[in-house]
Amino acid sequence: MILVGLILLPLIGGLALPLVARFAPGAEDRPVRLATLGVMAAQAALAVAALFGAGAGDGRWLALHRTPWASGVGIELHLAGDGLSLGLVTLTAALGAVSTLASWREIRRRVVLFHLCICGTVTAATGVFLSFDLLLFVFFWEGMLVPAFILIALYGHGARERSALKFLIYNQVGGLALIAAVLAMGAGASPPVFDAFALAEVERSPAAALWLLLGMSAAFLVKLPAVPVHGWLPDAHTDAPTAGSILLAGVLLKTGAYGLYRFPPMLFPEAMVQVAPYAMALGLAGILYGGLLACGQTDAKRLIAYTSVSHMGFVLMGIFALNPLARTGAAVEMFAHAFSASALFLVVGALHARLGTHRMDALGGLQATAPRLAGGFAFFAAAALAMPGTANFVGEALVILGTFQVAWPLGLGAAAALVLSVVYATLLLRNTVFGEPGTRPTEDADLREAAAMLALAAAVLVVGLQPQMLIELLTPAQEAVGRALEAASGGG
Amino acid sequence: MAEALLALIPAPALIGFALLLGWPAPLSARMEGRLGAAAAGGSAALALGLAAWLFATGSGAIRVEVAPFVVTGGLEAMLALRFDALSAVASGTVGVVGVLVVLYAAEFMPREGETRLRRLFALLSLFLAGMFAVVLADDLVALFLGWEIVGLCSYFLIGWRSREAAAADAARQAFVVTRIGDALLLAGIAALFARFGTTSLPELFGAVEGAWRGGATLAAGAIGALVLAGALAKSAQVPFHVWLPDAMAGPTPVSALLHAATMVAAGAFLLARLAPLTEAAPGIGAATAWLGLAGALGAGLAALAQRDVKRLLAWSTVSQIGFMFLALGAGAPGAAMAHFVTHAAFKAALFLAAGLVSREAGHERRLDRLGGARRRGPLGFWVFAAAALALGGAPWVTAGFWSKELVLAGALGAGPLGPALWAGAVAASAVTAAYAGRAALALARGGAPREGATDGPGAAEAAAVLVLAALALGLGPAAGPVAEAVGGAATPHLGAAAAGIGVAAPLAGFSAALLAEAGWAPRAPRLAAAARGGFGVDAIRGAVAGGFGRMVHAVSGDPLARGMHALAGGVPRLAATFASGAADGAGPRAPGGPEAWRRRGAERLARFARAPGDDLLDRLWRGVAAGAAGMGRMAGRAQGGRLRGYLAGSAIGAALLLLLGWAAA
Amino acid sequence: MSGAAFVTLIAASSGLFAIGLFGLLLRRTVILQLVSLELMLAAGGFAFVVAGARHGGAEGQGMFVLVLTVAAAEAAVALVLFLRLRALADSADSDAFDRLRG
Repeated sequence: MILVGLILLPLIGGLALPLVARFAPGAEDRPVRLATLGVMAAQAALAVAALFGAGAGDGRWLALHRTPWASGVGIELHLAGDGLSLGLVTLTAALGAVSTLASWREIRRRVVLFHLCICGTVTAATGVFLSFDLLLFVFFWEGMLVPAFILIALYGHGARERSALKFLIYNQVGGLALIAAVLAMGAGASPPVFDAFALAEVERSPAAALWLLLGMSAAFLVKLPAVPVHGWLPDAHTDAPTAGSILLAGVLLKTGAYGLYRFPPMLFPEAMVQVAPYAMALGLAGILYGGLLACGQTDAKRLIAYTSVSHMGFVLMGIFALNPLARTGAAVEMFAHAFSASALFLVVGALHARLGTHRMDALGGLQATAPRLAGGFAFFAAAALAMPGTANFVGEALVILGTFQVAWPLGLGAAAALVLSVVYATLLLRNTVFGEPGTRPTEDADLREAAAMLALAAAVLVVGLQPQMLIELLTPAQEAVGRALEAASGGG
Repeated sequence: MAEALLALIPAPALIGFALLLGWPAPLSARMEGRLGAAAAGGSAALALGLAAWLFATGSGAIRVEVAPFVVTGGLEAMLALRFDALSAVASGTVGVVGVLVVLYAAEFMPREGETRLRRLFALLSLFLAGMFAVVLADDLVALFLGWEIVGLCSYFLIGWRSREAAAADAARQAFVVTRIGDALLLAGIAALFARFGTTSLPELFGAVEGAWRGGATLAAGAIGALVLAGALAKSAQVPFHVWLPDAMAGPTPVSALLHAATMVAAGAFLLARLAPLTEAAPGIGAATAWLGLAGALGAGLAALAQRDVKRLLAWSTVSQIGFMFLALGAGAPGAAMAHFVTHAAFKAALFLAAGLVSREAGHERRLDRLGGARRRGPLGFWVFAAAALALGGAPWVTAGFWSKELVLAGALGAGPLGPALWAGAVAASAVTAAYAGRAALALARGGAPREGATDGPGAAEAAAVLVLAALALGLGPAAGPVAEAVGGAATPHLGAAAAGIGVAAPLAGFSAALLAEAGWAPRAPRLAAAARGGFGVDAIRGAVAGGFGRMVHAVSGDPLARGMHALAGGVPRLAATFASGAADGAGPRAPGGPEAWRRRGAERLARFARAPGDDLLDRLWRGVAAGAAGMGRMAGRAQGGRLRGYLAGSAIGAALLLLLGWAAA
Repeated sequence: MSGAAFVTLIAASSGLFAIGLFGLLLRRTVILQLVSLELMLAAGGFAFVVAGARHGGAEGQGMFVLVLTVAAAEAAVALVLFLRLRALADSADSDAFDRLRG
């Protein structure tokens, strides 16, 4: 039940926001914002409770829920959560709170719809992380697009409609392949069944499995984003409002990563082993391509967007290395990137709210004028370049160590990412923290922004210095994948 | 008990960092200085205490595992520390120099007009914590943690005066170049783990002993090369030496601590610590030795040609660490570490004294304008002179002489090419004495004292430089025991002739400096200019940066777009010739005809090439989308809106259908 | 009616139709296009009459009357449309009315 609650809470909370606005009007729409914060806090608390065993689960899963829904066509409400998925759900709720804090001063009109979209995104993402009925999964997957689209198109800046449309088209095309694969699998069986666990047992010809894998993965690869289908990300991240960028980078990208982590090993392990080398190469290409492009940017937000492409390349490479160390690294990197990228967008967004721009030639000299913001930039840029002591280092180092065990040339290439990351991180810092301040005064971070930054910094440091806690949370998922792959390559 | 102390060594520095960064209330300048000094002093005291205990009890190494770091999938990376002779020597040096520099900085920086020093002391404390982690680590991952933290602190410390563009750029350069080495080092660690399944140093040494002794393998050589590259970059050795001279843009205490005594010497320390690995790798020893010699000689000549005192000291550092690498490659880690200790003392003394001398001369850094330092500020001058003597290796009375003798002895005993290495090292030590003497004499020259005399050195500044100078002169007798404790093997004996030459070389160098001061210097302006520029540092930097810039530019799709634009210049011409032959009834679709087509096509393609930092793959997809839009527009042209067009189409279609029907029937 | 005569007459009808079609396609003036259209309709009616004569019976002539009626109605409507269009676009050129293009 707790899992159903996790999905319903942000949904109902979001739908209740118009009522809050109607019956409790306040200055600057404070009640709506506080209500959203409350919903996110409750969601996070619920997820943590599930992590600590409040849900009813068997040994493998921390919480389970299964009720039939449309049994004639094989659709059930099948939810399951383990350390990985419930951790991601907690992360989603936390980032929902962070994005609410970040938009306190930035969003002034149509505030209710804005926060409703935040709640909607959180709901859909939670559904993605918890669903194990594939049609339900697809429903939530597509459902993520709508509130995100609204956030970008209505509340963004720059070429926001164009960017929102680009985001939508890219992800819809990927989703089309996903839907096709899911329907082929589910409706193809007789009687039709969409439960992932049941579908995992079905025998398939290698060719069929390969096509289904490619179809399913297409959506995940677009969302991740993997090069060459990453084109939506820079525009969407740059033109979105701060909350939109935070949710996009912190949550939506992780849904793609989660999909790749969870479903191919479960449903098509042999095909996964087949495509692994190509996928790893694709991951490396993403790491290097995103990194190189980040080095050539003149806009701070776009730079951070390209670093996201680079970091998610690590995740892709780690997942398809078929190596426990690399897989753990990929999972840790999911969380690490969520923290650091969201934080960087938070700081840049704070600057944008003050100066109206995020072009790097207009920023500068923050160390002198706004030391707290400068400190935030410095710390999270250090995270982005995988400084040991940050969570990002743990993720990337584990991926590199694991990749060296299976394919050392790729590992060497991934190590080059460390150099690229310093180039772009110092480029960002050179143009924001260092240098002469501009003529416009910049006020330092206020209490809300500082609190959000501190929370994210604490997360980065805790995972960076004592990663074992997070790793132990993620181990059951990692080991399950390992078992499935071993059965495939051993038996098959 | 000893293990607990060992685990606590980095703690005072870390606590100092946390307090300085996070204390919610404002701190007075004295409090900042005191916290910084306490942080450094606490760690130093623990390290020295433990070293004394180790010496007194004569016990072997002790080891402690502070906490597990990552344990998963076969990896067991622990935060493990070890205290043996090498750790004792290195941590003692780091601690002592760290405390002295922090004490100096607490008085020096306010006198430079810098008031908000919290961040400075916080970064210095974090730096010291990282440095202790490096020298005490017993696990490669723990070592790498400290290694990188040290690099990060260096970045923020060089760029501490954040408003200065030169400092910001120098900091970036330093970080990027050292990161190249760090990435290669991490690759080496990953390769070691892939090969041996562990990152713990004792286990690795044991495994390497078994697997690599006897047979040289390609893997061993590759891994050794990766480790060497990491050490070379951090220590600003050839070919990674480009960053150190520019790093002098940082404040003087930073240059003294990081870029003279500790961080840059960390590369030498790494090779000493990982000696069992690098010695087993074929060719790495030779590469280390020869690269070290190249650095020692080349950087020495560059130092000789410098006009700015801090840049001279920077090149001197590259050169002296080259000596350390030479000894390491020759298989004498003890000699290298002995030189590490003495170098830390005299180089830090030189930097700090140079700071005093420069301030007394009105913040002047050019050697030819620092004359008269003897009268303006005797303390600064005499400390500088004494440390310069130590740097040059004045025979018997300075510590620098004794450690250099050990290095020379190590070089001589290094296999068949030993004598060649030794000869080169002798030449380098002569050059060292020459530039050291030149610098001291430049300060000693007459010359009017400047107007507006400043106050003399403060108590802390004086104490720091005096202690360092005393160490620079007095540590001589300790060099031998240090080398033996670290290196294990007894230091080889120099024959009488070799020893004599070892004494003569620095004397020759000093004499050359005296002669030059008296006016009898050879003129070689082009060579001097080349040496001053570090023999092509700017060229190397330009080539690397230019190449990287071209890569980034290529990925943005600009070259492709320009190529396509050139190609597409042909298409409108083609379309125009086609259009002129069309039927009368059709009429020109585009207003203005083919000229307008070409113009619009060119505009569209030009828009392609204009966005900076654009994305090649995204452009390709945008091209696909534009193509689809274009096809749509072309299909739209069938809708001419004119009745006759539609009728013609229907008529032709009907005729075709009839024909088909008649043919089928 | 003999076969040869029938074929000749049908050919003549087709020829009339073709003349009308080409006139419709090649003429730019709307009035003349309407004339050509009438010609095409007349040709069709002619073919019906000839066929009716061939087979005997009055169906051919009946169809002709139908065609004539349709032609008359259509001519009336077409002329009104033409007058409106000419007033709007100030031109009798069929090619001038292309606002539904694209």
